Amino acid sequence: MSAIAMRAPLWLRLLRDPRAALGLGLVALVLLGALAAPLLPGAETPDFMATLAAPDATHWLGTDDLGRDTLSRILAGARVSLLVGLCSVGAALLLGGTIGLVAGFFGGWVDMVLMRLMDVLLAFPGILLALGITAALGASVTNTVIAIAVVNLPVLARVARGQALALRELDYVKAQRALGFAPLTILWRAVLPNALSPILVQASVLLAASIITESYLSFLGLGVQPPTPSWGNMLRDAIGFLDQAPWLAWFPGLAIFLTVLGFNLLGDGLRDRLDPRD
Amino acid sequence: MNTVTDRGALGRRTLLAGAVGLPALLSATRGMAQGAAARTLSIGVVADPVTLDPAFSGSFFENQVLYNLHETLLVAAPDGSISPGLASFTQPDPLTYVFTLKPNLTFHDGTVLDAAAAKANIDRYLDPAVGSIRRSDFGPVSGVSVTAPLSFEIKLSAPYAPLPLVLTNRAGMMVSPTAVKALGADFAARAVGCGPWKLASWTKNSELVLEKFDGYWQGAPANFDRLLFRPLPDETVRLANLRSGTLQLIDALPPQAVSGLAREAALRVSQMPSLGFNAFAFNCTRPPFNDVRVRQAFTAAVDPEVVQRVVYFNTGRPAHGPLSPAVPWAFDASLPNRGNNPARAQALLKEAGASAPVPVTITVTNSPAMVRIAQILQAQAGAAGFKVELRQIDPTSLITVLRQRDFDLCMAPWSGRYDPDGNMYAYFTQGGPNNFAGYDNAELTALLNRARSLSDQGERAALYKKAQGMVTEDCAMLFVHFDAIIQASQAKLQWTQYPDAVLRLYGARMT
Repeated sequence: MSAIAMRAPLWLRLLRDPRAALGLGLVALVLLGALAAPLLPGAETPDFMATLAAPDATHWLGTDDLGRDTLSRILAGARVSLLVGLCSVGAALLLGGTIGLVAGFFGGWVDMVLMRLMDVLLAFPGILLALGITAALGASVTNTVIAIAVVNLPVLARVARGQALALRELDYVKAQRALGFAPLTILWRAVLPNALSPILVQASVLLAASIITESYLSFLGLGVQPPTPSWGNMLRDAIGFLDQAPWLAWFPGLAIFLTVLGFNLLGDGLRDRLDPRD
Repeated sequence: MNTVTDRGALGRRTLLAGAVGLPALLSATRGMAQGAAARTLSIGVVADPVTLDPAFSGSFFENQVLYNLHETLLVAAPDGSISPGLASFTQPDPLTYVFTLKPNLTFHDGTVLDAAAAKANIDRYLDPAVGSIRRSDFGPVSGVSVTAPLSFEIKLSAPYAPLPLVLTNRAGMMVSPTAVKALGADFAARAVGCGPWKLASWTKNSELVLEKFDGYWQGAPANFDRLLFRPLPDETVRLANLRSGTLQLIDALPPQAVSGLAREAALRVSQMPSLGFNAFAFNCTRPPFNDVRVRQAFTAAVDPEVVQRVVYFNTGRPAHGPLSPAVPWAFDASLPNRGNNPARAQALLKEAGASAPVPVTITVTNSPAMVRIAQILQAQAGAAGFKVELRQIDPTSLITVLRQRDFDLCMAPWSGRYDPDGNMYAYFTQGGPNNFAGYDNAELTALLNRARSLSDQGERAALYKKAQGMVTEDCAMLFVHFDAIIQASQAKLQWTQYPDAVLRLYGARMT
C-alpha cells in the first residue's frame, strides 16, 4: 500500500477493505441493536392471550410461545451475547495475556509451569470444558462468562507467549536489559506494546467463538436462564414449534449468524491491516 | 430399516432368484419389502430402559417394554376394572388373598410357571436382601405360601385394598426363577418373563427388539412378529419418523402437534386423560413455604387454566387436586380453582407479614414444557408479590433434589395409579416415600391409612374426597394440570390406548 494509506487511521483503512467494512457494519448493527433494546421493553413480558403470533404490524418478528415480542427478545439477546462475549474475552485477555507474556519473557521453570497449566486446559475440548464448568458452578450469566473465559484463557496465553519469546531476542529488548532496567519494566514498556496487535486480533476472533459458545450453553439450558432472553435459549424454545411457528427459529438463528460473521470479518480485516507488511 | 427384517428379506430373495429368475425377483422384492414391514412394528419411545427386571425398574419409560415382555398376575382394563391374568383370585377374609394360576403356563425359557415359581417371585420382591424397589408396593404383605401345585396364598398383616391393582402393575410381573438364578446381574439386560413377546436383541440406546413368544398362553399376540423399540428423546424427531413411515407408533406426542396431525389422513392421534398429575411440591419444611398462608398466596396467584391453554394447547384439563378424572369414582369435580386471584394472594402475603416481594426459586428439569410452565408461574406469582427465580436441573438430578428437599418449589409430577391410594398415600402421609413437600399432617395420615384398609368403594370415595379437601386447603402441593396421554400411530395400526400411557401391544393389528 502507499505511504499515504499507511498514515490513515486504522478504522479508515478497515473501511477501505470491503470485507472488513461489512464486518464493521454488522458489528455496529449489533451494537446499535443492543443499545436500542430498552426502547422495546417487551422481552420479558408475557402476554398469554397472544402466543405464537405470526409476524405482523404489532409484532414485527411475531411472538413466542409465551406471547413475548420476538424483536424485543432479539435485541435484549444482543446485549447478553455482547456482554458475555466481551467480558469472557476481556477476562481471558487480561489473565491469559499476562500469563503468556510472563512465561515467554522469563522462560525457564516459570515458562514450564505456566504453560503446562495451560496445556491441561487445552487438553479438554472447549465445549466439554465449558459444559463441565457451568454444570459444576450452576447456570447463570456470571458462570457462563467464567466458563467461556477459562476456555479462551490458554489460547490467548499461547499467542502472548509466542510473541514474548520472539521479542525478547530482539536487540532493543536486549539493550534495555544491558542498561539494567528491571524485567517488569522491560516487559511493560518494550514487550507488551509490540506483542499487543496479534493478541488483539486473536481476541476478536475468539469473540465470535465465545458468542457461539454462549448460544449453545444457553441452548442446553446451562447458560443464561429464562426469562432473560439469549439467542441460544430462544432457539431452544423454538425447537418444539418448528411446525407451528418456524419464525421463532429463523430470527435468533439469523442474529447469531450475522453477529459471528461480523466479528470474524472484522478480525480478518484487523489481522491484515495490523500486519507490518501491509 | 432394521437388520432383523433386512436379513429375513434377503434370505427369501436369494431363494426366489434361484427359482424364477430376475424379472420375478424384482416384483418379489417389492412384495417382500411390504411383507417385512408388516412383520415388525417399530415404536418410537422417549427413553431406553435401564433394566428389564421389574424388581428394579424405577423409570416410567421402562414400562413400554416391560408390559410386553412380562405378564402380570392380574390385568387392569383401560377403565381400571380388574380381571384375571396369569391367575384369578378370591379373598376369603380381609387378611388373605388366594390365587389360582392358569394351567400349563411356561416362561420364555421353558421353565414352568406354577405356584412355587410365583412364590419365588413374590419372595424376591419382598426380600430385603434383594433390595427390590417393589417392596413398598406390597404394603402390609407378610408372606406367601404354596397351597397346591397351582394355588398360593398371600397373607397380610393389615387390610390393604390396593393389593389387586398393585398386582396388575410391575409388582405382579412374573419372571423365570431359573433365569434369575442362572443370569445373576445379567438378568437386567436379558430378562426372561412369560409375556406375549420375548427378548430378541437389545443394542443400548439404539434399538430393542422383542419377538412373539410361541408358547404364550393366549396364542399369537398380534398379526406381526416383532416389536422394535427405538429410544428417541426428542419429540420432534419422533414425530418426523412417524411421518416418514419409519415408525408406526410413537409415545408422548407434543400437545402443540395435535391439531396439525389431526388433518393428516395417514396418521391417527389417540388421546385420553392420564391417571397422574402434574404438580409442584412446596417445601413445607423451610421458609417461606413453611407458612401455609404463603403457600396459599402462591396458589392463588397462579392460574392452571393459563397453563392448560398456553403449554398444553387445550389437551388434558387443569388440575385442582391430586386425583385425576380418569378415576371417576374418586375424582372430585367440585374442588374449586384456588388460583387466578392475585388480590387474594397479595392479601394473604400481607397477613403472613411479608413487606417486600417474597423471594422463591422454582426448580424444574430442562424439558421445554416444564420450563414453559415455570415461566408462567414466575410471571403470575411475580405479579402478586413474589420474586421468582428459575433453576433448571437435568432430569437425572430431579429425584435427588426432591429427596434432599433442596428446593422452595420443585416439579414433582406423578404418572398415576388406578387406585387413588397410589396418587395420595406416598405423597401426603407423614414419612411417605414421595412426600417431598415434607407435609406433616397426622390427621390426614390416619385418614389415608384407613382409606387403604377399606374395601367398600363408596366408603373409600368419601374418605378420599375429604383427603383431597385437606390437601388442597393446606396447599401441600401446587396442582397444575392433568395431562392427557397423547400418542400417535399410522392409521393402519389398530391398538388399544391405556390411561397409564403404557403401550400394551397384545392384540394390536396392522392392516
